Amino acid sequence: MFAFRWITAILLFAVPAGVTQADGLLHRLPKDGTWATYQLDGISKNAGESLGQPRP
Amino acid sequence: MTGALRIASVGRVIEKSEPCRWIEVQFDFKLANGEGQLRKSDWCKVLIAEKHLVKGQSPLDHVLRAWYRSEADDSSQKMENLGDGRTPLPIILSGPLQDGERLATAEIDSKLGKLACEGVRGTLKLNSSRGDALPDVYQKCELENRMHAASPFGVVTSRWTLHSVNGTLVWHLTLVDIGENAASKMPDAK
Repeated sequence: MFAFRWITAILLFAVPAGVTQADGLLHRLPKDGTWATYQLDGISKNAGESLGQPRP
Repeated sequence: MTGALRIASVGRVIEKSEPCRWIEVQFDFKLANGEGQLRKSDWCKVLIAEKHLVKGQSPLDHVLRAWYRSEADDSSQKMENLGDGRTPLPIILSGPLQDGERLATAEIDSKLGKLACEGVRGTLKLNSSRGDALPDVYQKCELENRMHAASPFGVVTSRWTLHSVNGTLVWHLTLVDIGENAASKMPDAK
């Protein structure tokens, strides 16, 4: 019985349902139909130009 | 530069006996300069087996079908090469980061309020089919993600520092809205 409980616990916690751990922008796989919007703020610099400073 | 990136799960299908998801990404940005404003909207839609959306996998390497559409297009076009530079898919669908390191938990403010978020930072090497010799192709991306289980796809903020031979582009992404019942904006892409 003790061994059975341990196996059950490992199965429950080793593979959480619906959870992914890929390292891009998808770390979880929610139910179908789910959406998320991210605001984008961008800064560009040419080689030799400092980040955060306006372009000439 | 400002914009928005929307990720949605727009379908669950069985393909070759495997449960798969259609993931759709919309990428809008505006660039203001002295000569006016450039605005661009792109959509892409990829089909990936759910088993490849787990730790240690690289979803980008297991895309079964991919479609692309810009707002100027009348219909969706099949994508033959996901690294053609038109979309941020190589970053969004990347596998484990090179030299990945865990960051100390930090409080992050977003649509979800202030949350204590775990962090990870690392590097992605971007292999573009257009060749490294082309100046506008980004060759490397330093990625820093802040994650929390309350975020639908796990990520609350993300910072992409993209390097090319011509310079650097930094995108900072912040979760601003979430929802359900997403419908595909590319219904012809199947």
